[in-house]
Amino acid sequence: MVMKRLLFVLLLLISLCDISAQTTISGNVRNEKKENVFNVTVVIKNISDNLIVGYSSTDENGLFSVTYDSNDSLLALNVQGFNIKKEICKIENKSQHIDIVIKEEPIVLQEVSVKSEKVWENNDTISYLADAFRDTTDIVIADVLKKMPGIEVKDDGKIEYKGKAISKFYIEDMDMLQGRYNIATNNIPASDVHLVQVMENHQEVKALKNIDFTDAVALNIKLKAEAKGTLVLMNELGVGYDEDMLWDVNIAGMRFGKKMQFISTIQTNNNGSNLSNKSNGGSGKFASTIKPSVPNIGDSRTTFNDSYGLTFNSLQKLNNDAELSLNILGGFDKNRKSSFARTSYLVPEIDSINIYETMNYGEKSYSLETDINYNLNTKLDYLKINFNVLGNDILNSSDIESSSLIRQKEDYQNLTAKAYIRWIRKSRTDNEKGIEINSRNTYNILPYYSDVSPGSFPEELNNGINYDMTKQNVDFTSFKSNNTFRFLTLFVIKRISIHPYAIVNVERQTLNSSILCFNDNQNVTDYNDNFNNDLVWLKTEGNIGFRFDYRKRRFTSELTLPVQIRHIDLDDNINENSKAETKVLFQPDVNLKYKLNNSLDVSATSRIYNTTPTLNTQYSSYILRNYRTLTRYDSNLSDTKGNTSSLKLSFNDVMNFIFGDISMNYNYQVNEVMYSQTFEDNYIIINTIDKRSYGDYLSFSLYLGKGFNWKRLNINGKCSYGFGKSPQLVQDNIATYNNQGWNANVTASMNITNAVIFSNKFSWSDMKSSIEGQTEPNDNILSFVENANIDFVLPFGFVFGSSFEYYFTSDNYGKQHFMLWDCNLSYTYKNLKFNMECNNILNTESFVYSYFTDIYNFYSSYHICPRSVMLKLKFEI
Amino acid sequence: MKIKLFITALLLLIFNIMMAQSPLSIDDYKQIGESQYVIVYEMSYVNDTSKLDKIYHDEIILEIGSELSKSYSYKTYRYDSTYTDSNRKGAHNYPSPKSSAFPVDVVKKYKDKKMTIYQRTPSDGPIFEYEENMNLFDWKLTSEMKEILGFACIKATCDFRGRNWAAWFTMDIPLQDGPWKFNGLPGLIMRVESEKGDYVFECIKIKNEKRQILLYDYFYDKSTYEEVSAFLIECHNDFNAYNRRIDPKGGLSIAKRDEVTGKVTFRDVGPNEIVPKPYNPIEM
Repeated sequence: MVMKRLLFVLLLLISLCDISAQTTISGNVRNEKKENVFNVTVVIKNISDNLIVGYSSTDENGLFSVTYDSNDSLLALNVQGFNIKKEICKIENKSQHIDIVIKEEPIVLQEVSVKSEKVWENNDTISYLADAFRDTTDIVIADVLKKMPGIEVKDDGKIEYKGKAISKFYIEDMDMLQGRYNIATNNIPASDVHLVQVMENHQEVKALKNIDFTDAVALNIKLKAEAKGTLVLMNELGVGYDEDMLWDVNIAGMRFGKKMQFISTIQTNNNGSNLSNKSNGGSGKFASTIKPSVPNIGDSRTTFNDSYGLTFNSLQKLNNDAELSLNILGGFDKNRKSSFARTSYLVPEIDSINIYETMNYGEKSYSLETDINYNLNTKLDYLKINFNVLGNDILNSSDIESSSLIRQKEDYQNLTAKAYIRWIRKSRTDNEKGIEINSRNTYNILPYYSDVSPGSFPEELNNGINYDMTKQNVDFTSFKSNNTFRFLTLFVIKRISIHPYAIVNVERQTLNSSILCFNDNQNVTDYNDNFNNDLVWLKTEGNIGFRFDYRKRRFTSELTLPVQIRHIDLDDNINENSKAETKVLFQPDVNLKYKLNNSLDVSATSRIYNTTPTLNTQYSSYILRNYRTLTRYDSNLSDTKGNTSSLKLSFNDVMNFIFGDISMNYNYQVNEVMYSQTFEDNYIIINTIDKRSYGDYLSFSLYLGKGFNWKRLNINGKCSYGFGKSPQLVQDNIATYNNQGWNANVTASMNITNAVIFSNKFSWSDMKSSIEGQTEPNDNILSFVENANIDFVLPFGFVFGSSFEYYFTSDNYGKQHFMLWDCNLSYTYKNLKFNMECNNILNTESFVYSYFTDIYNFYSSYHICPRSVMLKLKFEI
Repeated sequence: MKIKLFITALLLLIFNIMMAQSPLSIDDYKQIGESQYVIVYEMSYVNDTSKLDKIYHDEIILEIGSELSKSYSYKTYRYDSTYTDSNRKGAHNYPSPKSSAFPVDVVKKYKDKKMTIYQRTPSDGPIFEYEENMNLFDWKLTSEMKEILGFACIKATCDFRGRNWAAWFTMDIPLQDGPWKFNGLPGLIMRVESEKGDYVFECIKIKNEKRQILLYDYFYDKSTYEEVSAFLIECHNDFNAYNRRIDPKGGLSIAKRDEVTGKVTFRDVGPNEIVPKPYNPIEM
């Protein structure tokens, strides 16, 4: 009974297996040589309906196994594969093992081809639809640009793309503003812009498109049809209060037509805002007064001003390839500065010489600049001609409380005319060949007048008798012409490409100076004394150079071999003598880079340099560099030669987001003369001594960073150490000054939430300076800075930001610390944008900093703008 | 004080961002095989699912030899070779990158039944290399038939990494291969497309050609499929952060202090904006 049951179950099981009908056919495929063949396809088909029921392929031992499901009694077994003659045979529908022998023969496929669709796109510029980025809080195009990926707009309107300043800013494909485009970004209404095009690798010169790779980026603004040809007025009005009324007004009128565009602006402010036409007056070249030294913490914190500016910019398109632009800028600026400074000279065998100065300074300046530019840009030719004329007039006066009360005044001008021509001509037969010529010519006239009371250096200038006032004129003119010639591409030997170039420079300068002593408003200068200079300097240079570029898989190298012939003629019309010198100089330069592996790179650079002397160190009669420094040099055309080298190992593991580098820098210098500095109390006299000196400097630095996905956290840190020595001639002693310093800083930034970003940076440094062989005196500066920023995007269109800074400085004279705190709130209502700024909320009076340079330690307490509130409104008419 | 604003809704944004890889020199290579057949596919795909009418095109070349096959983008090859050619002539030509170039090369090794995938990343990012089994596709044959380029083709479907794929293969061409990673059908794949139609490969050319199959001598970052696809998703989630990863010093800024003089200069911290990019990967 049990046996029957078991048998029944067994049969049932077997029949069940039959019902599932899974059959496996396995086997072995071999070729005629009895070798196993792999990758042969075995397909099993129903004979009834020709449907494939199963398939497989052979492994490296020629074995296959196909499991399938079919009800057909007979099946077709197809054997086919790469270079295998197709075999078909009929088999029974049951599990079995089959051995197959195939014939190997090359199979030729039936060739066929169809025309593909248009696969190659033409347009590679990225275009952003401005409306897609713009929201109601955006008034001008700068607001919208900030939101576009990779684009960052700085406070002064300058634009960077992926951290790099853009090279060109076009409006409707025309470059009207020639680099002063911040006028446009802060004034063109956001609603008038249709497209913003980002052109990476933008080669503005059509003729160089296939020759010079450039990583420059350009932006092109395309306006909406209704904005073209209409006059637009953009206004920004601001009022505020610190200890007095503050104002900030910007009005811009613009019109963009098809062939002509213009933007005209009027600006005035007294809160330190940058004027778009800010052109530097510059200081006197040979002499200047001692002024408060401005720390680099932002103009709005350090400037007490009254400024007015007017600009007019226009462009006319002459035809498809040529344009003419005109820019006129004018401005008036009045400002004042005050600070307390201590300059401590480290002098051998004496305690430091300390100079304490409390300074109050006021300045007035006028400037006017005209710029005309013509551009012709075709595929085979490029021509750019630019004329620029600039005039500046600066008057200032200051008083300094030191060991006595000193009054200084300056009145100087700068008149400069520039002409620049760039011409590129491509070969009509070979698309990659051509020539380029650049010529840059500048003519400067710099008249300078200053006076100081009481009279300086009575011992040297007035036979030891004290006197009331020193008056000085230092008039300088200069004509420079730099001309370069190069072939666009020329020789290639194996993997080395050779770029030859030639440069011809001419420089002619004159220096006329005189010092007069006045007492009781009478000129008391002794006519036997000669405090006048009348020099004419002429330098001509011819350079021929070759640059060799070699690139192989892991290794890139760039070697520049220039040969220079230089001739200098110096005529001294007062002492009636002349000096001349001709030199042949060789200043090679090499850059090497080797990729060790995916994440590690090593690079090395080295160059030899030989700097030309300038008129600044060639005059032999006294010039009063400032009220406490009197200088004169022997006119011996002396050079400074040296070598700068560096070695760096860089690491970047992209997958794990860790990066860093270790580098070493070395600089070695030889001077043919030494400058002796002789102190008499606070006063220094500088002379040249014919003596060679050597100095060197070595530094190491380590930089590491890591990024995390968590809240977009980024941390990076840098640590560096440097030391160097330089010989100085002080008080008739040659002493070697040793400088060494440590510096470390860490930055962290993260997005706490989508609406809150936080960033923090702190830096620390410790510097020492000492004289070799002396333990005293030496100087030590320790400083620490901590800066935290936080920004909130709040509902209802409010945005709030806050920035906090803490500074600590400690040196041989004491400790100082102070804090700066600024806040900012903005709100947009319909088409109006309100902005409220509270700066220096803690009302910190001065910004303190110190640093070393050469033989002195400089400490400054600079008077900064007090607590202020500013409310601005921006709107369009 | 800088006011930082953020990108909010991605949905309304209509832009065409260049996510193309940089060209590379093709001067250094080694030969890994020799082809007997060269099959060309036209690839059409959608990169931004919010812009279904914006279709990218590329040509995928499949070089088939006896031991292995290589599938690569012809567009990428073309601008790599233009770049190499100009460099040889001494010019520094950088041909305009095509954002539609498909950055994946696949080398299938028949004996080992393994394939090696080489994935290029945008800008100067790393080139990843990872290995996978060839039999990732669980094809189900159907009874549907169609004629493509004069060949009778049978339809097969499978689910692969987030998409439903439909492939037409022909028994008349006894090669178990196809474009990109596709393989494992008993005949050459003539057309394969995703269900939504956002990825389509269609054969446009079949040639009997002896060609060297090359592997270029680049620095490959060995990785895995999971790591690489996670990396690409991150890259598209925030292009700004990706850019800083590729070039850490670009755009990051710090309080700078001169080592010797101690003079402090401050540069504003770069934007921490999240910059997402549309991403419609072939494997999800």
